[in-house]
Amino acid sequence: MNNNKQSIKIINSKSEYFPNFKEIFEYKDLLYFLILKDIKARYAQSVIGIGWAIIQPLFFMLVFTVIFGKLAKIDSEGVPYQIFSFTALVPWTFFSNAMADSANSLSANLNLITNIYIPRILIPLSATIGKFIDFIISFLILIVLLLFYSYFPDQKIILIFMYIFLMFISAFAFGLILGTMAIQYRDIRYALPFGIQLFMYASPVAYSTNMIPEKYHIIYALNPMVTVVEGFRNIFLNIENITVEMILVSFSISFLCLMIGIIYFSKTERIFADVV
Amino acid sequence: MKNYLIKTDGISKRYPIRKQHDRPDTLVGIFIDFLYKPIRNLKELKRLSDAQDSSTELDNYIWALNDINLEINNNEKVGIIGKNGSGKSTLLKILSRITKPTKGTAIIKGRVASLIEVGTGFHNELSGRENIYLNGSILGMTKSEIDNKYEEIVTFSGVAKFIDTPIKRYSSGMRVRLAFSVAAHLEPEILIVDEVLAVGDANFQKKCLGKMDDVAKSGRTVLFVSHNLESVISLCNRVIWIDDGEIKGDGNPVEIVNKYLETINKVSESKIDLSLIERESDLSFVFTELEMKNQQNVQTSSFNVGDDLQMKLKYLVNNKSLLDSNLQVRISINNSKQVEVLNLNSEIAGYTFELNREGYIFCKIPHIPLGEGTYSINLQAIVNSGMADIINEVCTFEILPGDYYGTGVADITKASFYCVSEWGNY
Repeated sequence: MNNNKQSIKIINSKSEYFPNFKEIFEYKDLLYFLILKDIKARYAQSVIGIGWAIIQPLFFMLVFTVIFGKLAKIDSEGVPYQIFSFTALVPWTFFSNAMADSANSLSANLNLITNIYIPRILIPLSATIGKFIDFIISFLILIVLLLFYSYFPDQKIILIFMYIFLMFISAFAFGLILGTMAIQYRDIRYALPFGIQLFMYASPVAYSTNMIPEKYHIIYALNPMVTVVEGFRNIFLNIENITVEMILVSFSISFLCLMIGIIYFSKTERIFADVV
Repeated sequence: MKNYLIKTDGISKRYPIRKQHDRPDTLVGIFIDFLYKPIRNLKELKRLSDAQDSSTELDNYIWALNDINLEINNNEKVGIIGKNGSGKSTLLKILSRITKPTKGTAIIKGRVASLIEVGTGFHNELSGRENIYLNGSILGMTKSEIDNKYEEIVTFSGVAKFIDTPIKRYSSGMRVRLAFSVAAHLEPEILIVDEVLAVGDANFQKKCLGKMDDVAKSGRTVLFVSHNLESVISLCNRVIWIDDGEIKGDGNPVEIVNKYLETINKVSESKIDLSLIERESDLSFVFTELEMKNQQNVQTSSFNVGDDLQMKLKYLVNNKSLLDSNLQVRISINNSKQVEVLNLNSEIAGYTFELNREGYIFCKIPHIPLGEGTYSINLQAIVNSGMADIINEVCTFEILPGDYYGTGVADITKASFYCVSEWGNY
């Protein structure tokens, strides 16, 4: 077939620090089909289908509005609480689902690991991108809701891509680290659901960052979802809880986690087929 | 010679042996054991991840492959044979890059496609069409390659009518046909095939072997692991025999297969411990022992034609949920050419067994009708209609000439079978 540009592979015992990006590119069609499988399989044989993508954040919005908005009367900075929480729930839902899905993806696709060689990083990557499709749908609902409540974003809207990017890489980075650990240590699978619960309370989803003393904001931003959520609120609701320092801290920690995730994954990949 | 496609240099692979921890037998012991468990589990897992680091040499490792040096050239059809656990599947997994070697290097020139399982990644909820694309891309094809082959794949599979139906509605035969036709349309320079391809029904096996023959004839390099020695001889022009992780023979198929047969046809012990055999199952049901006796209840692995052959199988159930389940045992007996001559199936013979924690299954062949020769035994256990344990080439026994008809005269002809015959004259 392509004898002229014959590929030469060298197999040895050394583990790589980084995935082979050229090879990942060669498998880009596989990535596409894995994402397609992820989405189709998830919503097959369900009545509402892809509608589930918006039901989860909408449902949480209702619960939060009743409990935190009406009963606990949490300060929502002058914005109707339902909008205040939904703006946070849209990125949060993506983050928690994508992280959980990519963390579980490796152990859920063992036959792809033990019976064939593919660039295995595509498995958590496709799980994360699959959830991103859900995010786009609920993001559109968010826009509709905002327009309904007469919140019109100004030119700051361009920054939304930065926050979405931050949201994506931190979900992928955490999912990658947890997924790699979950292959060896089953404990991760049991700890994940309540870990995510804790993570939510550590992020300003139900409350506002200004409830935290200002001097701790930099430390608070070590949780990248703080910056993402407050970034969304800043753009759509004009709530000023975000600073450049917080953005820098969150980006640094996310990139650091991504590097750690990729290296940890690549170092561990060689024993994937042996430990399961 | 620079012409090789695959060259391995000292490939070795080591696995840790997972030891079952001794069970404590006192209440205090159980409690202490419980407290230590997390630490022990962590150590165990650590050990597993260090498995490839060859700096520490310990007794609790097993070398699945030891210093394999091979050169495979363009156009060669190489059959790899060997007993269970000899390391041949490990070699395939290393060459297909599923697992890494502990030591050594391999150089591979050209695109490799490995078929260790049919239909890897098939998803029940997706349609036939979507699964063709998914499975094809998992096997390393690009979308445009699949586009080009799509019509051919569908036609070959014979499921064109249902191509837009989710494959969960397919029969298992349709599913295998679809999966195989995707695999058959791969065009790699090197095709690596594991014997699992040959587990389908007889028709499928034939089709599979036929297609592999085509692939081989079209000038590609094939690596083929199989227990089916006849198909190895007919397909391959070179055979590599691996035993205990080492190459024991390499060359002309007939010559190597014969050498291999000589060693496995050695008559084995009459009582065989099966508990330590490596298995791919989850070990919830295992055969632990096989004992062979003649009609005088004497342990032996050597019988005369017409003797009673008694087999006693011991089993152990490790999973409580299987207790009281239905057990079906199949004993298949192969001759020295690895052709199945008898297949004894407890269920078809009208016997049903319920599982206990552990127990024995007896099987007796009265007046064994097999001719002189060496035979090997394969065992299968089916629990609740699912395959629970498979052991191939458990042991061998020999049949010597004997007095089948009870007339006091031993038949010394070389016939394969005996049966009672009635004679008369007018």
